[in-house]
Amino acid sequence: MDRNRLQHQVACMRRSLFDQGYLDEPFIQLEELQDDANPNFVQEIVTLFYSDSARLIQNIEHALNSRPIDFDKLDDYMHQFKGSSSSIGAKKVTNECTVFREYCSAENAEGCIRSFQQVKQEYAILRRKLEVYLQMVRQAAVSRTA
Amino acid sequence: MAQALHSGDQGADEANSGNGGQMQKPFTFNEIVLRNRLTALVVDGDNFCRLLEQGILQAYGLETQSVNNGHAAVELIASGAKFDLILIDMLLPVLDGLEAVLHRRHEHDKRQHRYCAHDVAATRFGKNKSILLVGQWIMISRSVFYHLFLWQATRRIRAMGMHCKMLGVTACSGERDRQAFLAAGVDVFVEKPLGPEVLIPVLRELDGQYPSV
Repeated sequence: MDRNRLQHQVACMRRSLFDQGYLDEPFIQLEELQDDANPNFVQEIVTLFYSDSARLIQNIEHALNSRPIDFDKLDDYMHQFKGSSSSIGAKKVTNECTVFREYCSAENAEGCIRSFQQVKQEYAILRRKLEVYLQMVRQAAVSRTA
Repeated sequence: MAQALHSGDQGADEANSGNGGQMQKPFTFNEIVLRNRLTALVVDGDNFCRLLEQGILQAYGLETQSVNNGHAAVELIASGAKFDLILIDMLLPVLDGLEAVLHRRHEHDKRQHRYCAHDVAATRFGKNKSILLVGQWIMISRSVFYHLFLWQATRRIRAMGMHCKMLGVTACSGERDRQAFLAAGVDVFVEKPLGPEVLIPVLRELDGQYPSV
């Protein structure tokens, strides 16, 4: 693919991730941490985000399936998930985490279960889009050095 | 320093112009250039957050170390390590007391929010609190118990005489937790994500403490 066209596609996709509210400013900060000394920083840290998120999602699911539900433990897990989501700039995921925590503090089990579905959905969407975006970024980087 | 993914190329420029497309605000770690060598410790149990926070501080020019729990932080400082800045998460595994609380709570009636604990050094009376001494057991309401036992790492670091700047970070918290975390010893309460609007003023302050080299 033509190098300029590839760069254009990368830039367009990046802009749409921000314009559609999937990412916000912390992701820019994260990108700025990548340099010649850390050329794969973004991919590495996003991969770490995926693995941490998978662990937390599993913990939350387990906690939601337990009876009685331990809302304090649930809140702690979601607190952690919100922390990492907000730090990567995952805006929609972070917003859904906030909704979940409101149901959690009200000890509303049904609300927690419903909102957790939203959290997982937004996380899955973001992950898919980020994977595509970063794949394109890697291709663009290869084409620059070719 | 950064090889920004979004800058410099013709394709990128075209994508960000015309059509009313909104440029994201440019971001740079060069907004502050430290005159002095500053050191920092990051204490965060979340792998991703710890790596990111350490990366951010390094990008600003600080020499950083990181640990993933409160006990390790206390041990490191007890060994003589000195830091100009400590970034400490509000919810830490090990030594913040929360794990001990959750473990012991399973043995008691959760609906009545009663907790048993050994080694409670202080008790407080007030609204929504009830304290009952039964032999060597103390029954305390949930909110008081948490605030007595949380943030042990922060309390111990301060108790050891470490007077450096401490930033307490959290995903989100209520005003009561905010005030309690400040009372435990952090200087600044920061909600994640950690951004330049908080860090740069702190770093300028720390950098100004030393004579210019």
